[in-house]
Amino acid sequence: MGLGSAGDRAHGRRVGRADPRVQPAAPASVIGRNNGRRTLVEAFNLLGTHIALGPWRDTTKLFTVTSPLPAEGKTTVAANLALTLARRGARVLLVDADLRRGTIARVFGIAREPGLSDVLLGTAEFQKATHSIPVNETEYLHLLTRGRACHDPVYLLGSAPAHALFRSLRDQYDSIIVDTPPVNVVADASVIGAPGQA
Amino acid sequence: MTDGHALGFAMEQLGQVGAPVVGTVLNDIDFRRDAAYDDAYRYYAHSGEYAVHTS
Repeated sequence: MGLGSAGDRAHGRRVGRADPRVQPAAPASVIGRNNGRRTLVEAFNLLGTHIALGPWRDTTKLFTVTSPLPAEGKTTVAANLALTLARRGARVLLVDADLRRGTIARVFGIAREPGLSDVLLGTAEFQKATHSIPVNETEYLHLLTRGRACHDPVYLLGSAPAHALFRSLRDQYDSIIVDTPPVNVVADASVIGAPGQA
Repeated sequence: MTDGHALGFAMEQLGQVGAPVVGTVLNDIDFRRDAAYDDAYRYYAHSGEYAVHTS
């Protein structure tokens, strides 16, 4: 592992969630390295197929993306996987649960706040904190950025509001892709990935 | 590059909370280098630098 996430930036707009009035100027594109773009697309098609059709397809909707250490490509994988699934027509939410250094907002060029932390703290409504960006002529990818900085991300991610939010999302989306901090460094990914969270 | 110990520790962290791991994504793989080692990798030398494995 060890892929940097620099590269093409997806085009995003801050719009109302699933707003049919949205007329995007350009659909979001797969992000990644400038070279090897075709093979990157194919690799994520393969990953998306495994995720969508794997033996967990009827029981699991929430997928946590993590890595041992920082800067190993978590956000690149999470964003591309979410885009790939959304392009196939699935209703997909990409959540930036790296409440410490999450970069989903920057990658997609959207506002970082309000986001997940604001929803969990009760200072923003989920519907208003969620962004929708087009991925092709008809499909959208939904995004929840990390939101404002908070003092205790592990506590917040393991709190009752977090459990309630992730459970409710199962009814609203086909897949929820969650970008998290490195699992060898902090406990956030373990908290989200533990059974019973979603 | 992530070494084996770091990867093992990561799996241990997830295992301790019972988090099911559905797969791994290996990136930045130099298949061209490996193609010289084993014919089985030659196809991948033409296909890129990502590999996906799901359980």
